[in-house]
Amino acid sequence: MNALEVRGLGHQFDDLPVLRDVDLGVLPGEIHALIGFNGAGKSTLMRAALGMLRPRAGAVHLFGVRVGDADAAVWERVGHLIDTPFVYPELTVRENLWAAARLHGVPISEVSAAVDHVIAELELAPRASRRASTLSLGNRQRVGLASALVHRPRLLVLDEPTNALDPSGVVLLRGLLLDAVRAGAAALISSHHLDEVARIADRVTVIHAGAIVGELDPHGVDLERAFFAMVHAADRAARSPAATTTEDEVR
Amino acid sequence: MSPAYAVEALKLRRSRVVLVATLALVLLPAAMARAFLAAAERGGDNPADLKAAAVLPGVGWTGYLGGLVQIYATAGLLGVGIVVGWCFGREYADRTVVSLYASATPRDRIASAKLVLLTLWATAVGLTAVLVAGLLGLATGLGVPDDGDLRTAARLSVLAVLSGMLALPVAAAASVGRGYLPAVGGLLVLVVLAQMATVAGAGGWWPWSVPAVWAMGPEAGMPVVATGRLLLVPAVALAGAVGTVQWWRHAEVG
Repeated sequence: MNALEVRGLGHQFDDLPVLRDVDLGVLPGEIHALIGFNGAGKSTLMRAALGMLRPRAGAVHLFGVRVGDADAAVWERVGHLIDTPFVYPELTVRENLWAAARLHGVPISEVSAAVDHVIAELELAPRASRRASTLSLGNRQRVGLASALVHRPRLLVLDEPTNALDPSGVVLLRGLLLDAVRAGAAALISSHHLDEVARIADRVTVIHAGAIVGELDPHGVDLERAFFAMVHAADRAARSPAATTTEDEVR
Repeated sequence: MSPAYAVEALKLRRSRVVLVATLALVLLPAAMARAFLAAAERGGDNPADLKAAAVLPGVGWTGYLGGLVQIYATAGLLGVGIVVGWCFGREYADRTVVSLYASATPRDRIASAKLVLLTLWATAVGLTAVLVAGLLGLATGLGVPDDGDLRTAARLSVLAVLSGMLALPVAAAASVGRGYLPAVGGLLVLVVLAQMATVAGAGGWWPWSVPAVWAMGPEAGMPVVATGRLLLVPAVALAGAVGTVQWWRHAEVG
C-alpha cells in the first residue's frame, strides 16, 4: 500500500489552474522526487497531499486513510517541511525540537531522548542551547529538518529540503533520507537540483504547469537533458495537441 | 499538561513581547495615575495640572484609583490586545503556521490553548497591576484607604480582568487577516469605538465600554450600569474565541 496516494487531483487559485488531474504514489522504502520549474505546482501538490488546502477535485490518501479523515494516529506517522522551517526564534534549538516532538505526538517520557538523537543526527549539538534567532539560514533549515524527523515518521514530505544548506548539510540530509527509507519510510521530496535527485531518488516525476508530464529514470545518462526534453514536449503538446498526436503516431 | 498547552506556555514564557507587555501593564498605569494625582494635588494653574484636576474624580486614594480606572480601561485593552495579536499574528507573519498543519496536535487545540493561556496571563497581569498600584499608593504617602476606596479597588480589579477578556476577539482579526497588522488595526478600531460609545452615551451598552463605565460609576459622572451587564464582556470574548478556533480548524494555508 502506498504511504501517500494522490488520484485525479485538481486545484485552482481563483481562475488559474495550478494542479490538473495529478496522480502520484509514494511507496514505503522509496524516495519519490518531484521536479519542475518554479510555479509548476510542486508545493501546491505537497500542500494538498498534507491537507493544508482542500483541492477542487481528486482524492488524497495517507496510509489508506482519506486525508480529511486523518486523525492523530495518522499524522504521528507524517513529517514535513513545507515553506518555512518549524523554528520559533525566541526558543533555543533544543526547545524548538522539544516543541516539535510534543506536537507530533512523541510520548513525554521519550521526548528528551528523541530530541537528543535528532540533534546528534543533524549535528546541531554545538548550537543546541542557542536561541534560534541567532542561527544562520542554513542552520535554521537544519532545525526545520530535525523537527520533521524528530518523531521518526513513516512518511516524509519535504519541499526543497536542501534550501540554504551548505554542502556538508546536503550530504548529511542525503544520508538521513537514505537511512530513513532503508528503515521502511516513504519520502516525497521536491527539488531543483537534478544531480541531487539522481543520487538519492528511486523515482523521479516531472510536474509542469500543474500536470504530471512523465517520469524520468534517476539513473539515466543525462537527467537534465531528459528533463528539458520532457518539459518542452509538454509545452509543444499544449500549444498544438494535433501536431503532437501526429508526431506520436509517426513514432 | 497536553502538548498544545505545554508548547504555547513555553512560547509565551520565552517571548520578549509578553515580558515587555507584562512590565508595562503592571507598572505604567499605576505610575501614570500617581503622576496625574501629584499634578492635580499641586493645584497649579499650568495646563497639565488643570487637566489632571479635571480628569480625576477627587484627591487622595479617590483621585488615584479613579484615574487608574480610566487609564487601565484603555491600557489593558491595548496591552493585552497587542499580545493577543502578536501571539496569533506571528504564526502567519513568520509562516510557522504551516508547520502546525499535518500534525498529531490539531490546530484548533493549539488555538484554544493560546486563548486560555492568554486569558490566564491577562487576568494575572490585571490583578498584579492592581496590587502594585495599591503598594505604590501606600509607598507614596496616600495613607490608609477607606471603605469607599477599597470598593473602587475591587471594581478596578474586575475592570482589569474584563479588559483582558475584551482583547480576545483581536485573535480573530489576526487569524483571518493572517498577520500582525490586521490585529493592530482591529485593536485600534475597538479602542476608538469604545471612546466614541462612551462619549455618545452608549457606554453602558457597548461591550468594550461597559466595564469602564461600570467601574468609574456615578461618582465620575458616568451612568449607572447594572452589574449584570458585565456579562456582555464574556459573551463577546467567547464569540471571538469560538470564531478564532473555528478559523484555525477550517482555514487552509494561505
